[in-house]
Amino acid sequence: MRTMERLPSWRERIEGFFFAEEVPVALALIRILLPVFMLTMYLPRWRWCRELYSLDGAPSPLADGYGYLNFVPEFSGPVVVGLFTLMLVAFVTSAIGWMTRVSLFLSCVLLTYFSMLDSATSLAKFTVITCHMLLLLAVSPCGSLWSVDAWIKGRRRTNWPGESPVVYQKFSAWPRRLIQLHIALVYFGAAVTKMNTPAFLSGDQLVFWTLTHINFEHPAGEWFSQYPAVLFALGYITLIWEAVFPFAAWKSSFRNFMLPIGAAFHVGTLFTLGLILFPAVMFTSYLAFFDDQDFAWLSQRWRKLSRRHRAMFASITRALPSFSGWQPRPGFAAASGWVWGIAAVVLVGASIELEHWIDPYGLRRPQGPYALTPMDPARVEMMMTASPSLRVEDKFFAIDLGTTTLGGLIVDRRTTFRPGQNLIAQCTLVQPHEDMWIECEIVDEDNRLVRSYGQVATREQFRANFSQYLSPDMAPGKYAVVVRNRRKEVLRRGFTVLGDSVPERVAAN
Amino acid sequence: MPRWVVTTFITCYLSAMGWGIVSHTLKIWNTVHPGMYFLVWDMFCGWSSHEIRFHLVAEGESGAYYDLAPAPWGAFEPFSGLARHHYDSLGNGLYRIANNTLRHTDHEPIRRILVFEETWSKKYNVPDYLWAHRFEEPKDPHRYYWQFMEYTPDGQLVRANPNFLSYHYSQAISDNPRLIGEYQGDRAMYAVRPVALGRRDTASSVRPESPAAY
Repeated sequence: MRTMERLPSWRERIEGFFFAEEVPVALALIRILLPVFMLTMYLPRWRWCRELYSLDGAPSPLADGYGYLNFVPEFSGPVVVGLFTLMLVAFVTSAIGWMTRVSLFLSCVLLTYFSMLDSATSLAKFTVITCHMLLLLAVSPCGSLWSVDAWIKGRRRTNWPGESPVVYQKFSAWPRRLIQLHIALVYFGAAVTKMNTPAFLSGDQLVFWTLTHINFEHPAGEWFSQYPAVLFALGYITLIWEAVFPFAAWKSSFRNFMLPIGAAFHVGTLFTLGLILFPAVMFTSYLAFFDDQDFAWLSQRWRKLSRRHRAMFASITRALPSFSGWQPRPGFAAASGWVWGIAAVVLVGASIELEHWIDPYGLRRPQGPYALTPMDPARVEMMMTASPSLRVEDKFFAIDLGTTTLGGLIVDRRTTFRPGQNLIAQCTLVQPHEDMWIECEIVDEDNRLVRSYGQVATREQFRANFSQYLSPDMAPGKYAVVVRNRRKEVLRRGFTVLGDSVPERVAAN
Repeated sequence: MPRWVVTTFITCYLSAMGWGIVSHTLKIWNTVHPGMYFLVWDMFCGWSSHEIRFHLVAEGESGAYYDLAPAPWGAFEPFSGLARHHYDSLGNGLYRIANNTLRHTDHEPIRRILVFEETWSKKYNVPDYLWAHRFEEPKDPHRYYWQFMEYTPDGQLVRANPNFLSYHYSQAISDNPRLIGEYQGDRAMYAVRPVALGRRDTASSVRPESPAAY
């Protein structure tokens, strides 16, 4: 007789989800990488920290924008330099896993503090995501692996997980689970934002985003901006992927699609939007979607590879410095905290002195403080008297010709047509613009009017499509579509009508 | 760590994250506190069609003007050669940046601090080789200048205009005689009876067409 196998209850499933025991490999890797990325962002800011974050500078607190003045305390220059240096020290010691928990807490608190003090250039959503992950790492056992702390406690191992699992200490999975849930909710929130932004779904905002020059160079984005239909399609793919992520990124065959697509998306933002740290932070967070069994599988593959290429790996190993003889001295474990504290204090003190010596504002220069130099009066006059009226040509972006649209965007941009085809002239507009009457004309080679038609473009429109059937009796030759507003020619696009007409059946369609 | 502590932490953390999603989706209390920035994931809030730069200008008592940003000691460029003040899109920190330059430099007494926006259509950010491929018109960028704010030297805001694009959005709406006529004719007015000052019915909201208005 078959016995009925009892299904686990919801409570048991949730317990299994959060409290299953595993080796915190992913958390250790995130702990190593995340502070290093933050270090690349914040180390260059050390030279400017007095100006960016102190009372002796010009902070731009996040809370001011919410109407909470003096929400975050501001300190004098030397105090800020000291705290900023402490944050950098904490990043380094978090990465190497020395006094891991304290370092991660300090990293989290100080990163949050400095981000909130400089909303203009230090605060972004990826710094917020980093703050969340640092908090979750701080309460996790991420320092139990590949860290100075583990080395001091004698848990040093050079082999990978899966090779001899008894060596590795196991902990509950809940910190990794919370990072997973955090990332899933971030994507879901981002999808909600996009759903509430009609201009994103039309592709128009992506066009302008790819043309925005405030991030790093992104030549691929500028190229994509000329193909709004592609951006439109990518926008929808992104939206669907982000909305599905919380349900499909878990350990299953779906994960093998979701994570690579996400990785490709973030690589895409590197080249199309000029984002560098955002992709780096998100790649790091993806590690949380792999458990110790995944890493064991990976290490097995690695060992196979190393056996196959034994000679090459042996030469690499010989070239690397060996630390196998290093052992912590007796008593170092007890002194580790003190050494860390003294090192931090010394570095903080030295940084305050160094920053004083650098004299960022040049107040102690031999020639005295800097003097302001007058501006060119003509330039100031130009700024003060410039007309605010928008030129007509600045209300129009471009005109494209084609025969087929997808989502309202031309997908077959072309300049040659055959009689019997339907010519679509798509006039892309730039907001803000008022309600406009747009006249669209077809002129021949000698600029004689062949056809004229127009339409109203209301102020919320991003584009106006003019559809014109090219009748079979239209003479072959060169023509142009001319867009006029207020009797002024704004855009022109030439096209050629070929001699052979489209078969009647196709034309009828 | 005791299980109940962990369970409490998980519950609190997921509740906070969940509240961020609900608040953002329903647009309820999503900007009520700076802490919401850490719970609301509104990436891609919207990018305008125009590129914007800021100019911080001080007018001295002699009538000379001084550029306050970038400061004489250099500018922090967070990403790609663009000084920090250009990233303050709301302009909340611009006075402090201007004042920081004034505090640390030699200069004549200052009469006022002006903030200008410099704006141009992003279509002119298209590189030349792509422009030649898509456009038949010559690339003729025009930069607009707009006085955004004016401060006294001690930080009093004496003039705050809407930013350049907001001004044009409002112009696009107000360029409608019928709408303006409705706005001027339909607004409720307060009928004030001076003799009744101090009484609860001193002011009452009425519409001009209602009998009470006459």
